[in-house]
Amino acid sequence: MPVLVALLALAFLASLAFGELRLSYAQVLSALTGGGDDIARTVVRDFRLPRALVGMAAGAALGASGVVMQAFFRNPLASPGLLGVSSGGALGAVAVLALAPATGFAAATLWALPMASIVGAFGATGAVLMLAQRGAGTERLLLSGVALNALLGAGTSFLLTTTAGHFEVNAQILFWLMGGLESRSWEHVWMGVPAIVAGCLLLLPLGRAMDLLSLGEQSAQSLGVDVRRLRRQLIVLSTILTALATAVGGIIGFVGLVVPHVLRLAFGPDHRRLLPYSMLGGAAFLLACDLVTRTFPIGLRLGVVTALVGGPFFLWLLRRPR
Amino acid sequence: MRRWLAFLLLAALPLLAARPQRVVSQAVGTDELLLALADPGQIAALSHIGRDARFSVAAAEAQRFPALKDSDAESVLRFRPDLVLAASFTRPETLALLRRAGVRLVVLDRFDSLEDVYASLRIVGRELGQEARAEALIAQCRGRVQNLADRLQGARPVRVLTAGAYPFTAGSGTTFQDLCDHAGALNVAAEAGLKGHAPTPSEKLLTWNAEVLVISGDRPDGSDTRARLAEIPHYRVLPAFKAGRFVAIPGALMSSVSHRRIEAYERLARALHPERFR
Repeated sequence: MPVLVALLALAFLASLAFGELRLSYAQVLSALTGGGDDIARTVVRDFRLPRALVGMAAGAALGASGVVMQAFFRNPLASPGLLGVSSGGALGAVAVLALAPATGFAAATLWALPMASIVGAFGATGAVLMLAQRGAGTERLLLSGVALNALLGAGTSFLLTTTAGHFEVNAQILFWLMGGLESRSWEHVWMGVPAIVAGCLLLLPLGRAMDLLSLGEQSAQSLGVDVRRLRRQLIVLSTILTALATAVGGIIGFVGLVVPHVLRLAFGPDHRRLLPYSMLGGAAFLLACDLVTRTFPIGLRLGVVTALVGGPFFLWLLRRPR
Repeated sequence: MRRWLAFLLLAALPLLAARPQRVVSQAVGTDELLLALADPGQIAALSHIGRDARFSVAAAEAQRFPALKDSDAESVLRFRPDLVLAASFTRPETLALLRRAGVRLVVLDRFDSLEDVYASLRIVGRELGQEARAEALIAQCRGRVQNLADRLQGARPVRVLTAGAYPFTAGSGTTFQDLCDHAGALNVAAEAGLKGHAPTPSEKLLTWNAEVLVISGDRPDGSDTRARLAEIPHYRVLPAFKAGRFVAIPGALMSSVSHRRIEAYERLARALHPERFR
């Protein structure tokens, strides 16, 4: 735990200290406290700070949501986007973007796209839950998620092709498809961070029940867990967290899949520890990946980096003799 | 007398016959050249996005001619062309199919400078049998550019940045740089060392001291683009943004690779140096 907190603190400070402009630590510090020159103050307080906060929150949300999904489905392949939440979120935003040239709607407010994304994400989850209502078996839910993901992905691809030639719209669609933290502002902090913190806090006490759930539904039930209620809580919280992360950062893959696994390998499968660890680890990992996109300003997308950095590391971890 | 006329007609026949009568232009850039040089009767069809004012400066004129359904070879061949104009950025598959079909195909491949445009005008003029018209147009263009240069003589270049929701900006060696060079503007991105189209920096923008933001959008006044920029933190903190110092140039004009871009020079120059145009 102290290691993870230290890593996160380090990543956070690095996010404030490093960027395109070379600022000394003293400059960054004085900018944070309201001193220094105008440019340094704007860069640190209006660019780097909100970006780091949004990145931390999105990383924590995805890490936590990944743990929940893996416990819920008792399947190591489960990830936050499994039920189509992120795809729905992306489609919501992309749909508004694609219609924007005609309506001018997306240009109207900074909140329009994130809100459309949240609507899309909840729409997708609602659809999955409704489809899987009868019987509500885990397998059926999983398959519904796969089908919905394909459907929503097709919708986004369709909009991407119909707006081809509209470079500005296409570039923005790429943001939603591959994630990113560029151009994040305080509005995005207010939109995402408080709700993500609340969601994480609500999730933390469920660790013990999730441990019991991992023994199997019947065992959990006989040990006194209200499995139906627990499952509902888990799916709702995980959906909310994923939806919020997508709304402020687009689809950021791999974090929710890999971070819980890595931490499980390192600290064991106890959910009471795994949950908070995954929040911290997800936040630190996402900030680190964002630092990479900033260090190589060649248009690297965050979702690309999370996979490029996380993939090989994960493979190495899996192949390591135990 | 009649004999003479008949003779003249006969002599002129090969010349007339040599002029292509069913020309198809496959790209927007070639639409603008073709419209400027051809007799209306020579044009069989223009590119599939040529009637869209977002892409073509000549959209209004293009309305009078048939348009391709798509940009592929089949759409072109449907018009049974005797000459096809295409650009080097046309998909290679399409060019290969057109060549295989045995149609006379002219691929224009230089769009960087005005001299490139003049060379393209000469090529198209020769192909159409409209050499004189091409030379007259080139002379007229040279006159407009010279007039602009005379007016801007000695004016202090204004520091400009091209801004948009598209996260790339134009440095040196771009059509935007060419626009700046002709309009009394200094491209701050090129000054900072950016080459070609490069990702727009965020923090560094603050140190570039752009005096004016050059924007383009679907709406002529650029209001749509301005609203987008207001959502992007690194633009909305710029002094030029806060003070509302924008010049809006229609997107089609900004990216035009034909002689029509001289109009963009004139618009930008007028906006940046109004005192020189009184």
